[in-house]
Amino acid sequence: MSRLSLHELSVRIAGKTVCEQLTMSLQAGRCIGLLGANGVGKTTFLLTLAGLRAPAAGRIELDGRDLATLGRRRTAQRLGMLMQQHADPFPASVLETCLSGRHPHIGFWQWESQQDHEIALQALQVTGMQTLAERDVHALSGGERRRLGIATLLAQQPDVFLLDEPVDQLDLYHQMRLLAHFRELAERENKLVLMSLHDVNMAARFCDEVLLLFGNGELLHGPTYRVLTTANLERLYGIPVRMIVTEDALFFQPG
Amino acid sequence: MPRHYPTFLALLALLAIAAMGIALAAGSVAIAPREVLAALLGDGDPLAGRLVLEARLPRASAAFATGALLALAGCLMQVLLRNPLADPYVLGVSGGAAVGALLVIMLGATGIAVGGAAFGGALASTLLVFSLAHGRGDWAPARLLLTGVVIAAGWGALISLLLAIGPDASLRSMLFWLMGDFSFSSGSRGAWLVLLLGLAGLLPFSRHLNLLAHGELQARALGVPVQPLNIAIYLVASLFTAVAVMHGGSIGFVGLVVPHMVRLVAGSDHRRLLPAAALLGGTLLVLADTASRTVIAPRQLPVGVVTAFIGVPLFLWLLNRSRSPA
Repeated sequence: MSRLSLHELSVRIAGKTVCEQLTMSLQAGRCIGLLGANGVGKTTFLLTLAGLRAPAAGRIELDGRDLATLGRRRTAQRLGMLMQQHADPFPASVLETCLSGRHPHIGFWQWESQQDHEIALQALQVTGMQTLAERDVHALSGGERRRLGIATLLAQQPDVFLLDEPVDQLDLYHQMRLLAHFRELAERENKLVLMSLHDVNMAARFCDEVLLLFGNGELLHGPTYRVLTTANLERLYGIPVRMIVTEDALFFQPG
Repeated sequence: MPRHYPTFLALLALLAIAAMGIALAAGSVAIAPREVLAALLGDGDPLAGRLVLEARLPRASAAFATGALLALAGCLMQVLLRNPLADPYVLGVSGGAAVGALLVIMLGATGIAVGGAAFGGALASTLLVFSLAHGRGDWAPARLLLTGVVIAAGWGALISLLLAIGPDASLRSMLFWLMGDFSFSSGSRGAWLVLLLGLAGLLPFSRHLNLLAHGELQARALGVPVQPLNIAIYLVASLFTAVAVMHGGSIGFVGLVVPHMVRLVAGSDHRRLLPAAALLGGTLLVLADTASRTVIAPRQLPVGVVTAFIGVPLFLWLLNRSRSPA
């Protein structure tokens, strides 16, 4: 089932072309990695797909409905995005912040229900933040704040997850645990996960498909095993890349 | 903390009632609490009755509404600019009001004319900043902040100019207005109307404000229509401020510090913050105004000076108390 379809989509930023006349369909149940060098427009691409930035041309459909006319609240019920940065100018507890993810599901006149609390606590559990629920966000470390951002997104319970560098700032344990969780969401709950990553090996390990952004409007999309080749990666990052094959996995290493 | 919120709110309400009681009883002629009550119920000594109902009650009521409006405007500006240092005056609303008020004071006006001129100046400044910040279609809080701060600086220069060329006779009135003064205030029914309607209109949007505090992009990603909300917050906060300066001149401190005081006790959730800030702001200003007209009676102190005298130690105490190892 096509969850997110792009129709002749052109995305540009600051005179640079991210993609041009791109038509493609992203299927439910897939975990897709978005790779590219710094500044090629990964964030811009994700923001456009989230409906948070207008494309230069073309349109995006979410479950067959035009994103431009779907409305912010209806969109947020089905599609969530993890931002690269989190801002907390005022004090708030971890649980309060996580509960903010429930916003699109709570009626205008309602407060968070018991069920909303349970969903938020569950999300904190998954991200290993449950013991910090009462803590002030200002007392969190960088990695903990990142995990809270992920928990907030999980509490939103969208069908489409757009993740902008989800494992940035996370220790190895939480990188593995959370990427495995997102992969599971795709496999078991038929969610669509699209995430920008800098670690090629994480993409190789967790993603069914990858999408390479070259920064000149060119783009490569396909199954991980077919697209992740030394030739493509050398072109993507502009450095020599070696592939190391072991019995049960394959690794890429610069040089 | 949020668990204790009902108790906290009840405490604030009691405090507000107590402050009103003190405001009605204290003054050049002290009136016993029983006589204040009798006057409110319409019997008792006619002289005390007139003093309570015609002099003190309108003034205390104006002070309460003004304090509540300033505290709410402070909460709103802080969210709009996502800056804890923002206050109702940061974008130049009070500067515009001051220029209007000082001009008519120079011309010898008093009472309602000064309030009206202040209100007009505040609205003019609001619209000026709004249209300038709009730029080429985009309307970002950062641009609004810069525009507002620069316009405020411009008003500041104009105010200094007016003080420099103003006639000696009106200089004292002008200075008092700038430091906050309720003696110009007339009926506060309009202020109460704006306060109650405004609060009722804001409360359903409190959850939106909570999200906006985490940044525009995050708020939009969670389904908040950010742009209309930004504009609405700016206009409502400016209206609140304009009404407040119309009654009390430019009273500092309340709008900046009351929101922080409430956050320290009740957290940052606007559903809790807004009602509590309104109560605390009103109470603080009623007490400050009462002190300003009694401490060196029959002379009066500018109320803005007294708000700071009460507010600074209170705020520092709260800040110290809440600094627990989290």
